Amino acid sequence: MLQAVSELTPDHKAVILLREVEGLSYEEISQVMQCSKGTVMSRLHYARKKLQNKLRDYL
Amino acid sequence: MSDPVAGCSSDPTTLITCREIEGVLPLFFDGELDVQQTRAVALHIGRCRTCEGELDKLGKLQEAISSAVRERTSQTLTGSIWEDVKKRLPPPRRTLAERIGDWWDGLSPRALYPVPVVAAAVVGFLVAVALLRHPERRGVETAAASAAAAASAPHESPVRVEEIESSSAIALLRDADILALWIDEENPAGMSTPVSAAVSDLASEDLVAEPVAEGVE
Repeated sequence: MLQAVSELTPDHKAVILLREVEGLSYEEISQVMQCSKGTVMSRLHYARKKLQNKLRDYL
Repeated sequence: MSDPVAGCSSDPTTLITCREIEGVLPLFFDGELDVQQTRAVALHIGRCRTCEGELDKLGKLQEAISSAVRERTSQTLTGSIWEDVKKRLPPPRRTLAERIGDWWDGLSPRALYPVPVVAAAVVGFLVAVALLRHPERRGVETAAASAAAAASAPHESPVRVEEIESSSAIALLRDADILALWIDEENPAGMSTPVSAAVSDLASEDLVAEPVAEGVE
């Protein structure tokens, strides 16, 4: 799992950790990463898709 | 934010499709939808096994990431980092009671056997010291005090008397007295003869001249 997370891009890694581990809302993540809320949603969507594809056998 | 389910507010169960749910399912999972949208998605998921399975995947992914990261964080903190920090921390100060407790716990039961004996000896010593320092509290003198008083009166010692009697000066004086008495008996008139005067002078000179020299022999 950690290996799969580490292979994400820095933006995707940051947004997935802030959301899944720290439990921040989209608004809070957008403030932390200084981006729009739509960008947060997009990055989170793609990060999840990548992780699900890599960990298909484990989930 | 785009609102893919906005148009189904009047009858969400009939207008929302699985394709539309796919776009808002992460938002539903993260609690980013409003109450009406959340209700519409929840109604659809309750009837659609496929969308419910997608929601479960999101939940499992979140649980897996969270647990893996927290486990790694815990290992890191309790592992090398915390060990390094502990090495640099000063040892915690222990209170006197804790140190006494450690000392007591460290004693073996065998080491505790002499404790009553030592305690009794200490108490006895203290009592003896108190009695010696304050003899009037006992009402009578102790044997030690009596012995000390006897030692402070040397004129009554028989050893001392014998030493005095054995000295040559006394012996010489006794001989001189006997000789003078014999002379007086031979001369009852009390006249002083040259012999008696010489003997008396000799005796007095010997007494003054060498009272100790013959005593050493």
